[in-house]
Amino acid sequence: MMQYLAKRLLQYLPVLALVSIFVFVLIRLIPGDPATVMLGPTATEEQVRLLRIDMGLEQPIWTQYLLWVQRLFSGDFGTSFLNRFPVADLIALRLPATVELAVVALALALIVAIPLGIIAALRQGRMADHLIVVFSSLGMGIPDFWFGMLLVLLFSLRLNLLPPSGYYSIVENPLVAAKFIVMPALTLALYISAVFTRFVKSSVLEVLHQDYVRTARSKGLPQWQIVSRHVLRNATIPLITVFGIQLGGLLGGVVIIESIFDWPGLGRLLVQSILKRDYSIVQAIIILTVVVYLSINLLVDMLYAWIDPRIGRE
Amino acid sequence: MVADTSTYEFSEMRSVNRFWGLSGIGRIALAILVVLVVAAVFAPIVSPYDPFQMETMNSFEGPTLAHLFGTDEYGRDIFSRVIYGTRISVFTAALVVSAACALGGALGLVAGYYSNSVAATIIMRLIDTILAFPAILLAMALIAVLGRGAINSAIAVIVVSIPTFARLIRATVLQQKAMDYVEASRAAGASDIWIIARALLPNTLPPILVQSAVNATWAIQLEAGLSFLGLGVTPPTPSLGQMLDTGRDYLYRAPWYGLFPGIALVLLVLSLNILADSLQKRISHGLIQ
Repeated sequence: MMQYLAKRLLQYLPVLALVSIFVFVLIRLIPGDPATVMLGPTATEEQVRLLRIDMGLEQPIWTQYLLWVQRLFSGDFGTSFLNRFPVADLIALRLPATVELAVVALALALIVAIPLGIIAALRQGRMADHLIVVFSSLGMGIPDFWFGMLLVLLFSLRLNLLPPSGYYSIVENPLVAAKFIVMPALTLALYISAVFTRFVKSSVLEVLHQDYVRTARSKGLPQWQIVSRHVLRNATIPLITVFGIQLGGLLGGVVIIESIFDWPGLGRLLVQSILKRDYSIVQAIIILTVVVYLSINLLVDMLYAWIDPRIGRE
Repeated sequence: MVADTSTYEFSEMRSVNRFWGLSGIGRIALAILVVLVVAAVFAPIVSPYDPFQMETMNSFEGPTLAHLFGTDEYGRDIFSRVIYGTRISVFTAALVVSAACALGGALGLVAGYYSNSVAATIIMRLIDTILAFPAILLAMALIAVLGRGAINSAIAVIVVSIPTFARLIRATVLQQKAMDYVEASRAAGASDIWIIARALLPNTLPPILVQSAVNATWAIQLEAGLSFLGLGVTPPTPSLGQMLDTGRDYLYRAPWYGLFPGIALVLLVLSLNILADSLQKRISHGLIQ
């Protein structure tokens, strides 16, 4: 297991290094000198030169890169071009909202997808299965921002039940917070639950055709026991992989959904920063997301090896 | 169970002979797609109004016979703007699929055929790097550098689409390369170019076809998403995503504003999805060789 972890880590590290170089170079490619951008049009040449030295921009590019990486490791993500706040603080302020949204949406998606997938597999070719297939096709085809808008139209403007946008801290008042999170989370969950439903169905179907299920059935085990004991456990393995793959979609979806519902998370901050050309924030959010994304994928690999020890031993 | 699947395959095979292997729903999807694409391509002829023509006197008119989908905040005809928006989506999809397929395909061919070369290693590391980003995030990063606009967002979508094609072609080439017929051609003195062009490429076509359809839906959604965020097509050019974004601001006054562009987008994506599924089924049944 430890060996497997080490091997995986060795695979991820070069990718991470390449990503960091990529992001660093990308931001450097943006036309315009960061110091000039930061100081605005009224700055003198002397001021710009001093800031350039201060920001390390006068040093060779490799030194700049290494310095940047070194600072990242110590949690220093630089300062915002526009308001000079430390980027790390800005991110820390926005992170909880994004995590809340992602976790609630994921939970919703699983609550919907697992039963639907199992039902579709057990009732393959019948009405229930067809309906579930239609649901998952629609879920994958309907753009999330449009679905979110329909929800607002129905629940906020027509029925007046939920606030159309905004955020409330879950710590301060969970009940009010729940009202705010319902629609964004449902919107985010739509696509993921559609994809999960499909995969639960196909992996359950696969397991249902295995010999040990036939044995269990011929032993006279009731259906629910076959499903809960044999089918579900074995169908979980491919699901974990799908989760790893879908995580990218989840992180991407957050960006769009936060914009629909004015959710004060990282995605909203990223879009605003791109539009305002505040590149130090853009850089930090992107590198941070990639690190999270790769770490969770690593975790998924580990989980996979833990559930199915054959994989780790290979 | 067993009897179930065999009859299923049988009916599937029968419909293949009747109509290109498309099931009932597949045919409906194809018909919808054809209508949308034709409307998009011939937008200047099909659309009843100039999509840019403002008539501020008639702003926020509900759907009527004169304006099927109503009018927007400047009194522009939403029906015409949806047609032009679909045009942007369709053209972006076509551009993205052909460019990503050509670039990703070329990279995948090299990485697969010369699988032990330095070039293959570099290509695969590059692909891994692109895949380390959630797609929309990388697209946004590229737009941050390139600037907003239709072309730049298309370039961003192309870049994030390349890895899937490259991986697919590489896998297919690796698998085909090990086959006897390739070995035989080589023994007969065929050059690398000949083997790639005449033996390997035709065999990569079926999976490419399916991937192209999948990629097209993806490109349409990504482009719409970027435009929705204000990072893609810039106003006043109509795009579905950007119309949805503006429509959101007038949800109470003019619910139809956001409704119709959304329906166009859903129809486009759903019909392509269904078509991709049908193609996939047909190929896995071995009906395209």
